[in-house]
Amino acid sequence: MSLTPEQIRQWLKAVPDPEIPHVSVVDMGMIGDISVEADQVRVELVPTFAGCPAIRLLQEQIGEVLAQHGAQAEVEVVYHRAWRPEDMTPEGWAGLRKAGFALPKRLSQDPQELLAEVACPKCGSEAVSLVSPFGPTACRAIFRCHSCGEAFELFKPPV
Amino acid sequence: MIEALESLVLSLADDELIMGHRLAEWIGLGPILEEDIAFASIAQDETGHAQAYYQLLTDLGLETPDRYAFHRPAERFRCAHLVELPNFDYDYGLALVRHFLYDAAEQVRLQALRAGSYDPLAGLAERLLREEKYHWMHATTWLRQLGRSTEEAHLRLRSAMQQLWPYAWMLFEPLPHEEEMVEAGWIPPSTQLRERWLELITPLLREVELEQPEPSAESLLPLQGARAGLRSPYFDALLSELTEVAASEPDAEW
Repeated sequence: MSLTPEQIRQWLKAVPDPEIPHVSVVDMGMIGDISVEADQVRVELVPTFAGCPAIRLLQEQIGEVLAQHGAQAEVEVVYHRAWRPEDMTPEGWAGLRKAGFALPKRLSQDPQELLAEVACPKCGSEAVSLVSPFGPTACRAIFRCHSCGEAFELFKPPV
Repeated sequence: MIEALESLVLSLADDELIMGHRLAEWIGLGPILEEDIAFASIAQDETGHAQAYYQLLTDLGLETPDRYAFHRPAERFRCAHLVELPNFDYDYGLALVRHFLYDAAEQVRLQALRAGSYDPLAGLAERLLREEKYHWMHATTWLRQLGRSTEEAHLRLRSAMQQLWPYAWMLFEPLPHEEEMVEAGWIPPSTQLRERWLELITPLLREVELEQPEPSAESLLPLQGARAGLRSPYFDALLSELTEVAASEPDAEW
């Protein structure tokens, strides 16, 4: 039976985003084109932020998972194209919510707007303030909720 | 053509790498915890951008990102002297003004590259702009905040402008092989980019009543040649720190 890109995409659902467990790289929209020629597989890995330190680890993990299925893969990191939040699957968004992140209400291209319309993921209140647009990773911003008092993180995509 | 491309890409990449290093030096020293995190996060982005630029050259058969970053003699770097300047006594006003002037230049350069004719660079510029918007927002927010606060804050911003202005001006020193780049439509001439940069920053500086000093010939003269390999007196110490670990085991696989 010959390999198909769909099959490979299915296998790659076993590779989690190292910084957001429970969400796979496929659901994060980080897997670009997949091509298969003879038995050689080529997978595009599209980083969310260019400086994401997990890229090397992901390259290795993708190679390992495909090797377990007997496929030889070359994983190419793509910088010449932007990752877009629109590339995420509904499962990806649901996984982020489950992990406790607030999600942007609207995918504005203006960072001010994106950071202004946020609700607390714990109690739903909109009485929140931005503590810092920069958080523990490039894709997180830190907020505080004035209703329930909790600190929380917004999933902050490149805009 | 490859020389022109390397000249352009290294000027962008080396600015990012060295700016990233200087910002990372703030880790643990920020005036408030959130600024510590902000500079660390921006530093990580800039370093990642440098890597992506170097990779573009690697894909053309030139050196690998690690070779460019860690195994290159000082005179082969192409950064502007603005990013080489040390953090001196860690004056936040100075760091903020550098961040503002530099990130404004990044906005202008990336927008020009995005509209340029060299597809790999145009695509990369589109990607990087989506991250850089947060940097620009950070710089302008703090400039407005501090520019309208105390006399002490304004004094520090004014003195930073005086000190940094010639360096910022020289971000737009024409690049070696620039004619070729312009003719190919990759990027407009440096003088034109400087005009766009002035258009971007002038209204913001007016808003907080910060004057733009006149760049005198004698302040600019010692800064000439950065894009052709002339390094500032601060560069050697920076490079030896940046490359210390890599140099300890040059053939190591990381």
